[in-house]
Amino acid sequence: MKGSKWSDEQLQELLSQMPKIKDSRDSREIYQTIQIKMSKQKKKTWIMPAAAAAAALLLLFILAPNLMNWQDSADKQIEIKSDQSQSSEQITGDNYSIAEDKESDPESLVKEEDPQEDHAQFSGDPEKDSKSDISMKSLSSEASPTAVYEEDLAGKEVLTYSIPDKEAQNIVPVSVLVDNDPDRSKFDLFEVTMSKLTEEAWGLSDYYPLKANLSFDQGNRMLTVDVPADHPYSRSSAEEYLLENVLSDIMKNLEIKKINLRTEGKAGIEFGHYGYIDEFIPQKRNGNLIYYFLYSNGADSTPFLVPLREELNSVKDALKAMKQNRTENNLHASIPDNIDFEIEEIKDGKLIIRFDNESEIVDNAPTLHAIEAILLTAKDFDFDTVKLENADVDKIGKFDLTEELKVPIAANKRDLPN
Amino acid sequence: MDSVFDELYKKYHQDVFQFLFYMVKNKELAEDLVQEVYIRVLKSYERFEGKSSEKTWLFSIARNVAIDSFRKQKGWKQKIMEKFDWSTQQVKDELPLPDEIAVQREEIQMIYRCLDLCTIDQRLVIIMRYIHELTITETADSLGWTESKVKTTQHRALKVLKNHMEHFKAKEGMDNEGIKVE
Repeated sequence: MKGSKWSDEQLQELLSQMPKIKDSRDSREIYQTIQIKMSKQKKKTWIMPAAAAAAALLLLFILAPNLMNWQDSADKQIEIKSDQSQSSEQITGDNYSIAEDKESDPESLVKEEDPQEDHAQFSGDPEKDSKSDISMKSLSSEASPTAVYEEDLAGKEVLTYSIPDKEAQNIVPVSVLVDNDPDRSKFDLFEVTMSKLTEEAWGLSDYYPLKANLSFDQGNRMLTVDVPADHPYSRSSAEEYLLENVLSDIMKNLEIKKINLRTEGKAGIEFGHYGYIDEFIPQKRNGNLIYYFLYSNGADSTPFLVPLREELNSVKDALKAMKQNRTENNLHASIPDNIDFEIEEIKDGKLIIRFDNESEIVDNAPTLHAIEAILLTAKDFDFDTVKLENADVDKIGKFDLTEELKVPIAANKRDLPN
Repeated sequence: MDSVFDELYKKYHQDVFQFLFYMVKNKELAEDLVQEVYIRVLKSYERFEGKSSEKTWLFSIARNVAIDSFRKQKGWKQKIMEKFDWSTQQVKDELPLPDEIAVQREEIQMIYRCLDLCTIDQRLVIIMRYIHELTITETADSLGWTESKVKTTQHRALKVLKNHMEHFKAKEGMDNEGIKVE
């Protein structure tokens, strides 16, 4: 037999001779086991939703008191805010007279009284206050917004810094909130806070504090930037480009009229690309800022909303453009592909966006961030409010879609280390 | 008793059972699986539109049940259990032949063992085509394949069987010679 070959026919023959295997059980027996199994499966399909419903009820039961409290605390917040904004008006009024006094100790800012304490005084009820604390925590477990809104401002000053991303490809406007200080001008706060920024922890590149002496003439709103001889800003054209953008953003954010450039006290800075310049004049730039997502800390992280300047005819084109990825800048579309909409009405600084029926508008972080991108872009087109219609839900994160949404104060709020 | 069940049982029960047995090579498991086939059939009988024949429809469900059971067997639990339970590990390779096979001639036993060495697709085709003597069209229908895929798979399967049968033979021959020398 050794080495014998099998033909297909022989194999087929062999296979057809395989013995018949019979199930020896009775059909009745089988039918009964099947019935038992089927009823078990039915039971199972009933148990899971019931368990989920019970869990949901329990959760509702636990959260309901907090949510009701939150309503209270929201009202309270508004009271506090109106009080605060009154006082902040006074503060800014004072600022002009005190601004010249730049020698004041930077430590005093840190010692400045905590506005939290003020809040407690306003409400006059420490117990209530701690409750509202808890409810705020339960809120923050939802998707949280990334921008700065009017309601964040109570007693705070917004400082916006233009920070290059890790590849120095994009310039990300990051805003931090600092306590208002009657003894300091916004510029002083800007200069002091510069050294507290944690750019690298945020997933951006280290840029601040600027390697220059800054001195600000409050009366003429004139800034002098004095760099050391070994300054890095003319090392490459990329560095020059960054500095140009950073300075022009500073000019815009701090309402500065003129920036003088100096090197070790002598007028002018030598740039490779622009040559010798003693006064910084920002380039006139046309177009609007369209916001895209930058995932600097991986795809799961909270995105930065990064503006690109584009010349487009209308806000409609802008919102359309936001659905495209901008791979050349490593930026991602800020409106998901499955969201479609019509621009319904544009008047009196109010933009109405009507979602298509097919669009999936649900309460989750990506949708929340898309709405923020829409609001920020709308802001650059000089809209004050945006109304979103025909969404599947009434509320997304902090946004109540039944109301008009106010455009944010600034993009990309980040916290400073304590 | 359910009339649908009754009818299917009379017409196809032993066929489906035998098919499952040759797929999983374990009578108890085949008994469980044939029940699973009925459960799926009874649940979806209204959806059976008569596009294919009842027979190929049943075979296609039996095939899905068999494949699902292979997947389940490879679940993490089994993998871990195998690691700890040495007895099953050793037994697994040499599952005792069921009585029906054990009384057959040596070549039948051999081809029965060689079925293990085919891929699941190949085994499906071999069992359907040669043990159950389905036509190529019926097989293609049951598996949801084209007829040409059935043909190529069948060709490869026979080749695999052939190779291993010869290999077995050669090994056995050597064993026998060894015994003679002693």
